[in-house]
Amino acid sequence: MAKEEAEIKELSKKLAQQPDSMVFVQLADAYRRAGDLEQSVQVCLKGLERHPTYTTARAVLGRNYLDLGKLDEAASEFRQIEVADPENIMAHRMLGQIFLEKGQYAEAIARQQRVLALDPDDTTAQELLQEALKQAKQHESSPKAAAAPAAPAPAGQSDQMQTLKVADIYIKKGAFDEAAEVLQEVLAADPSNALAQQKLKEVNQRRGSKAEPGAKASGEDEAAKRKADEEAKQKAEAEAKRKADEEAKQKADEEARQKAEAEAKRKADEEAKQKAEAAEVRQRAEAEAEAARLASEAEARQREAEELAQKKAAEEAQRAAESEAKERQANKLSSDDILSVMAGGSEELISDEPAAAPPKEAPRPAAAGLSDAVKASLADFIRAQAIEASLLLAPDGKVLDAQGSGDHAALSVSATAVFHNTEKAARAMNFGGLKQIMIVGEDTRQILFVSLKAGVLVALTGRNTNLGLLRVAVNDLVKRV
Amino acid sequence: MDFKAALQEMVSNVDGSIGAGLVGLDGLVIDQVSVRSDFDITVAGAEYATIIKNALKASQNFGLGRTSEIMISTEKATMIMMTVGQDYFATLALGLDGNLGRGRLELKKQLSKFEQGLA
Repeated sequence: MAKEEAEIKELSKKLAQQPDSMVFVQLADAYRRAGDLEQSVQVCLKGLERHPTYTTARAVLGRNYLDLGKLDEAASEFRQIEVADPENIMAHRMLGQIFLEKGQYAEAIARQQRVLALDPDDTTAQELLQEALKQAKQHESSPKAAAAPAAPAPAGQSDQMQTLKVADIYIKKGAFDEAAEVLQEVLAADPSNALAQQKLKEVNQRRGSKAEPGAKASGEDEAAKRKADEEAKQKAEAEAKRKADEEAKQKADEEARQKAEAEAKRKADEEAKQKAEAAEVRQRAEAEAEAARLASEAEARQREAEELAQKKAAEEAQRAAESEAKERQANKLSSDDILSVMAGGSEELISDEPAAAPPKEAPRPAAAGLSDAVKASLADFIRAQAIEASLLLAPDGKVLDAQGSGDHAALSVSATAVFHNTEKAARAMNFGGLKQIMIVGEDTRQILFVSLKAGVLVALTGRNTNLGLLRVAVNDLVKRV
Repeated sequence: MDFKAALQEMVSNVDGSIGAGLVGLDGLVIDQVSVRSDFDITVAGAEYATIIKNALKASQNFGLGRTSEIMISTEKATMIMMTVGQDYFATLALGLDGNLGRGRLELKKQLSKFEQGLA
């Protein structure tokens, strides 16, 4: 009930919003289902004022009147439907029902016959027809009815024809008793009806054949029946086939529709995917291009910085070289310096030998201050050990003797520093005073530092010098000088 | 690489050894063995580094190229130093009676091991 109430509420709202709409029929039907027939009638009447030809509304109104017992009003509504649609089965059926309730059996029978004429398979009409015939028969047999002068009015000519049609329907169905009954009613009303007589005769013959035990059905009846059965069967088969075909077609159409939809969806998905992939590739390419651009810029900046650094380093190196050259030039001992050293009084430093007399030949400047014995020992050592170059340095770094080529002054500065630093380290290690340093280069040549009384001998040996022999020679030199 | 074992082997094979060590050019000692208590390269690492650097400088100035070996003779000992790669050197210290020739030989024998261990 709550459902109907909600429906009524909603439909009322709709009708209020759109008064000209047809929704009033649904509202009337909802009231009807809810049991409020009077309200349903009112809704229908109001709606039919706007839509007088709306037969559905009249049908609802007629049913309401019928249920309310207002048979005349109901009949009026269904007759209006009949006028608008003469083949409206519902209107004929309802009118038949109304006539039956009013005791107008001939009208009731005629209406149901009309329904069956339109739809022979209408079982409701068949039942109502039987009921009408039954009640009509009872009415005729009742004393009251018999005495009543106004027994059911004999059906008119058209009614008789329709009644005969009903008899035909019964005959077709094999209901010969009912057919005979209908025909007898017709003859009762019109004994001179030859058609009814003829049909009754046939019906009686068939009833006799059917009733007689073991009687052989006539070939004609059997054939007709078989034919009817065959036709019904064919019809049923055709109908079943038609329905099956229709269902198959609907199914095929539905499948095709679903397939088309799936295909369309797949294509749409594929297109979307392709678009997404294309967008992704484009983005990746753009990102890579951007990264490459940034890397290129960074590389260019780095190259520029390196070039700048190299330039600066070159400039600094050049400046350092110039500065060192200047320093070397400043520190370089001139021949005059050497001569002054050689001639000066550093004899006690470089030799404990007595000062030798000045040589008769043009003396070498460095050797000028050395004793002959020292000079001889040095010369022997240098010659025997295949010394390429040598320097004899005073403790203060001055060159006392120089043999071989090269920038003796520059080498003396470096050699003095090396010797002094190494000696300092050796003392720090508690190894005592430094006596010799031998440095072997990768080309197997050696630099030999030997601490002598006269100073420090720095000698550069040739390649593949025998270290053992050299060491022995050095020891011998140290003893001699 | 067990540097100490190699150093120990070297010291054991050379008569008159005082000690041996593996030192970086920065003066930091990798490992050392000592026979005498007054010999500690860990303490004298900086002095060793000074000696090596001076030697490298002298080699350059005198046109010898890269230094491969240095021998220092003092009043108390003789030290043999050989470069190991670009950044390290191995040293063997001998007393005045030490076998210098054997010392150079053993040091050379261990050089390849040190180079592999420091690579």
